[in-house]
Amino acid sequence: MWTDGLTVAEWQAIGLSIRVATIATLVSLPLAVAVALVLERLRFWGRGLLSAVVYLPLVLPPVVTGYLLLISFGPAGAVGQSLAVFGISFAFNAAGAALAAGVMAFPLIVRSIQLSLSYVDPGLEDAARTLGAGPIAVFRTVTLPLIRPGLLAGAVLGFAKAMGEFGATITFVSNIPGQTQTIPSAIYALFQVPGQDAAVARLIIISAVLSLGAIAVSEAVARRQR
Amino acid sequence: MTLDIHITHRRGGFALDVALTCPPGVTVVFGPSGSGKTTLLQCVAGIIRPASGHIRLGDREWFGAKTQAPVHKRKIGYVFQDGRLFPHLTVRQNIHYAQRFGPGQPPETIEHWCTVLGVSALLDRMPATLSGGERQRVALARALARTPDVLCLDEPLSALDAPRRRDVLDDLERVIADAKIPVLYVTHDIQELTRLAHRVALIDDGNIVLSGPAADVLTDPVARPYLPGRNLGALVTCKVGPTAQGVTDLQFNGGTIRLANVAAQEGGELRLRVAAQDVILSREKPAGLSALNVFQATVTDIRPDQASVVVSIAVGDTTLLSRITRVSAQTMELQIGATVHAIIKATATDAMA
Repeated sequence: MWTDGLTVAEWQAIGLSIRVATIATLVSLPLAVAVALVLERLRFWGRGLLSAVVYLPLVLPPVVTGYLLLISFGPAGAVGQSLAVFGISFAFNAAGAALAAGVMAFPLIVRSIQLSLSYVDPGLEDAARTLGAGPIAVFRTVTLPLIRPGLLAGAVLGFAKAMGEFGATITFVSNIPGQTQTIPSAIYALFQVPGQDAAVARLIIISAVLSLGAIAVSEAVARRQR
Repeated sequence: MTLDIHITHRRGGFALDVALTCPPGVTVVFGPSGSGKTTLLQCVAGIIRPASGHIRLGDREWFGAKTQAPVHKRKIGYVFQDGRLFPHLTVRQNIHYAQRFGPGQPPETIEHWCTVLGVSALLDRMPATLSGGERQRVALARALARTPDVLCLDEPLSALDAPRRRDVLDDLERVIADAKIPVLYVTHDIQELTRLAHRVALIDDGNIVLSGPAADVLTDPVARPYLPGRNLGALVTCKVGPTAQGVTDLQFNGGTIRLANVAAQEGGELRLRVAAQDVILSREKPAGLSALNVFQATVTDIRPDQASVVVSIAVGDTTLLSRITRVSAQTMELQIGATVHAIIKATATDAMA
């Protein structure tokens, strides 16, 4: 088998990447829905600021995002130290990798949901209210089903982005095999050593297959729901 | 229960200032576009919060100085201009939607309405596959399934072409004509008004210009500017009498109008719109006419209206209008109190069962 040549570290990188991307996507989704709703439906002072903060990782160099995460969530950072009181740590572990991937994927997920929200006719929500649905029921029975395609697209995009995240991750949680080394970090590590072209190619194919697989799954889900 | 509306609302340069009482039955809110009809309905539903005033249904206050009942707590059936069916739900799920949030109508009642409205065959379809007329029928069934205390219809037929409109209007009338709840029906179509209205509220530029029983409002001189051309006319409620040789007797307070080709059950009630253009006046009793309907009447009002003159006449207790030229009015020497003979040219197309 062509996978026979995969080292333990490579297997770990693949497993970690899937875990990190899955957690990053699943945790981001509900938060992204809330932020998208606020940005799309509410008009308030500071809306522009919130929008800027959410979309910042999209435009900042990933290294800068990683650095900002490090100085806030790192062992010496203010947030990191307060969380340490509860025994929660993002420093140089898989949780940190998921945080970095999530922050990087977040704007893409929000964008996708916000876009689908803008196509939901608020008149339909009014109609639901006249039929006796309270705010939560309106969201559950009308808004959410109508933005499902955007939700799905955002999840796939976010997952793929999280799978491929490199700059912020390596800056924030470094590149520790078995702990924070995801597929891109592993590819980068292999680059540093001459004669590892075959291993690099294997990992590239695997990461491509995983990302395309995510798209295929979402397509299948979307088709079944139609 | 009576719906009592007394509200003001301001948006941009537009000001709504409305006082209106709607007893059970159909109140048609009639007026030009941009006059505030939809805004009024949205205030009643709670979609818009008025600036001040009150909205009460019986002894319940929906809106007041300290109250603003949320939309879903007001038991309102609302039919929007564009239907607003939920695109991700089937017709059946749309109609049963309200059932999720409280006890609605029993299934037999919903089924009955689906039959009356002709949507029984559509239940498993998705809204996107429906025609405009079907969509509005489903929207109406959905609003009724809510067991509303008040029914609001915002130009429900305006998106339909003329033949469809007639079809849905027939169904609509069957469902809401004898409603035991206040029904607010917004339109600027005189046909819909004539068919459905028990009462009419004439609205213009955010104010109620005139309101009252439909027959009174339609013949009131104040309403003339809003009823141009053939729209001006009287509303005569008739009892359907026997039919002989294809001609049906329609008894109204003041006599019997005889019309050919009336499709109505004997003993039933029928609304006849008598356009002012279709009433000819004569000082002498006419003889040798092809028209069947000649009534002796008393002139109650004479008023110039643009290039012509509109004469109000009383036939028994019924007021009819006649539009004549100024020249005719002069040569006939019409005065209030004069006795005239009115020749009605009405045809069966004006009859609405």
